[in-house]
Amino acid sequence: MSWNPESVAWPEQRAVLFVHGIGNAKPGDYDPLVAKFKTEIGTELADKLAIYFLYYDDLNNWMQQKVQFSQGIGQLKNWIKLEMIQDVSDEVCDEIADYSGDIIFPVIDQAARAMIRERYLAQLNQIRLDGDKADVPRRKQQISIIAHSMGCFHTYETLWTAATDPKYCLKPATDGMQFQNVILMAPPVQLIRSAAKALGSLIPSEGLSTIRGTRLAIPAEPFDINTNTGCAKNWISITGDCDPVGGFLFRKKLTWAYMDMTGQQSFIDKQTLVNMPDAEALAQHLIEDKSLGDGPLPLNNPHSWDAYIANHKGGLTQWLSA
Amino acid sequence: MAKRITFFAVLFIAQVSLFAQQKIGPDTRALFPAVVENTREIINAVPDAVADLDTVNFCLELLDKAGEGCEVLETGAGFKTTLLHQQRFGKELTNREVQEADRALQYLKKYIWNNSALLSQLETAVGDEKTDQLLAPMDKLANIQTRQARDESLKRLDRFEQKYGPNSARLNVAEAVVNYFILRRFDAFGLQRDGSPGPMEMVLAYTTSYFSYEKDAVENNDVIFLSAVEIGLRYYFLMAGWGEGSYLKPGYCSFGLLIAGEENGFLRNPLKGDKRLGAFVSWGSLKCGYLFTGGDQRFLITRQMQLLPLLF
Repeated sequence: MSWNPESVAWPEQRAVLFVHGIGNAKPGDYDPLVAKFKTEIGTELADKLAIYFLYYDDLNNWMQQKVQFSQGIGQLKNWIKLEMIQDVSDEVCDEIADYSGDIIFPVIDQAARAMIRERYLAQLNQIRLDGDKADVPRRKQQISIIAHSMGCFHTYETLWTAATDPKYCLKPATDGMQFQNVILMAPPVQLIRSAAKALGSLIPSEGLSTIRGTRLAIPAEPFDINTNTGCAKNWISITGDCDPVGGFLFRKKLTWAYMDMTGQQSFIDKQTLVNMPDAEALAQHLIEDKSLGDGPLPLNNPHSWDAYIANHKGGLTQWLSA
Repeated sequence: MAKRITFFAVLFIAQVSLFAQQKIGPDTRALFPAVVENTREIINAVPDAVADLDTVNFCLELLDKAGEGCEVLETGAGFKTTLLHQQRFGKELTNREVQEADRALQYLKKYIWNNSALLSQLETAVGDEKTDQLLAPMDKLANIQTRQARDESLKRLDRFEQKYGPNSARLNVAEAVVNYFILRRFDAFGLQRDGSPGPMEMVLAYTTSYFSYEKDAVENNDVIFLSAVEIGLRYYFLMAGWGEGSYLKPGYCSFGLLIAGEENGFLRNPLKGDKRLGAFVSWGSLKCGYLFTGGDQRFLITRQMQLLPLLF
């Protein structure tokens, strides 16, 4: 066995699980982000939280290595006889394979998705067990999830499985597993749903909650004929108006890409692509020709997880301490 | 009889799983007496909050019965608890009773122990501390079930690692397409019902590096290479302790048909000229084959590897 769920001693009755997006993430890589999160919400609240981080990129790498995806990208590069493509180094091919594989495999391959889901569910159960160990009664355990980008897709898939499959003992009504908050930052769930539907039978529908039903819905368990018990007390979606992963392109909302579920709290950040306070400062910058002399224009990354956390420190503090 | 019908009808309407997926172990059943007693106390404290008292009482009776079975098992500890032995006591749970008890558990968990509206009324009626006390055995029960669920997930993850992890066989383009796009709908190749990976993989490979020997002109043994197509199945031993690099307990074995061309040699076209047929079998990465047609019967040996990434 090469992986065991992370176990943390609970200081009080709250825990939060971070789930990262695409990229070559290894355990410890997001420690600076967690440190920043603690600073943003303040040490008083941070000290009360048991903080977990779910890393799963090694599972994506298994799939990529099994089918030699990186070499495949390299071969593709060689077949495309464009000079500019030939200049791409093997390291860049590896990077392309790593990033694209993190999206492609979990969507098209049921096993790749199931592995990550299984790890996620094991981690959720470990969090509950740690809460038990700290003598926090089940009904008082307040567990939150903060996911970013592709991590939101895995969260959506996992929580639907948790809500519907009794073998995981994580059903919202039957097992009392209602998360205090599920906070999804730049979720590509609707984008993946639209793309997967367009690809038709190439994408296996079995076990893929993202394409099930007439629209996306908060994972829930039927309580009786008329009511459902949702998996989260607060289901929060945060994106930016320049973040294409979250469903916006140059401030235009793409309805086929923006995740919009009944019952979710939606927050859309105003973003600027250029890191300038106003148009005047930008004009001044261009006049002084800094873009050519002192380096490129100071661009913002509209998809930055750090930025979403910094922009919503007030909300995070409120949601996590409720 | 009417209660039984009501019980099953409510379960069906509420879409609680009718097929128990969890076996009830002795640890779980040992908690049943306290669980039953505390549930009765909860019901007495907030009778108006219970929607269907008859069904709840029927579920508690089932748990009582399951708890008795557990005592019998513990009395019989130290003996080899054979079926005959259990029948002599006359109280061992049948599969049906286990399933009923599990359904009863699901019902009580959903409508009493984790029912937030009911628990809110209970807190008002008896206070926070007493509520904690009343729910303590249920939390212990939930802890056992959560532990089982986590351990089962870890076992499934081990199986995924065996089939897809660093020690698994690499797939070429043809195998990837066949296994991921065509055969994935079959449990044995895709995912099984319990969420574990299926143990099978299709083998569609061109192996360039089988080697054998033959006598040269001066009757010395000479090692020769041979290229062949393999069409067969790979079976992963998805069990604990297998696939960790040992030759005694490898991660997989494979077997199938071997096709070689008329020429021996490295990187030869296996479909050229008079084809020679045979069979191959592997045990982990060690692989051997035998060609038995074409007038050139020979034993072959190689190692599972891909000399040319993606292809062979």
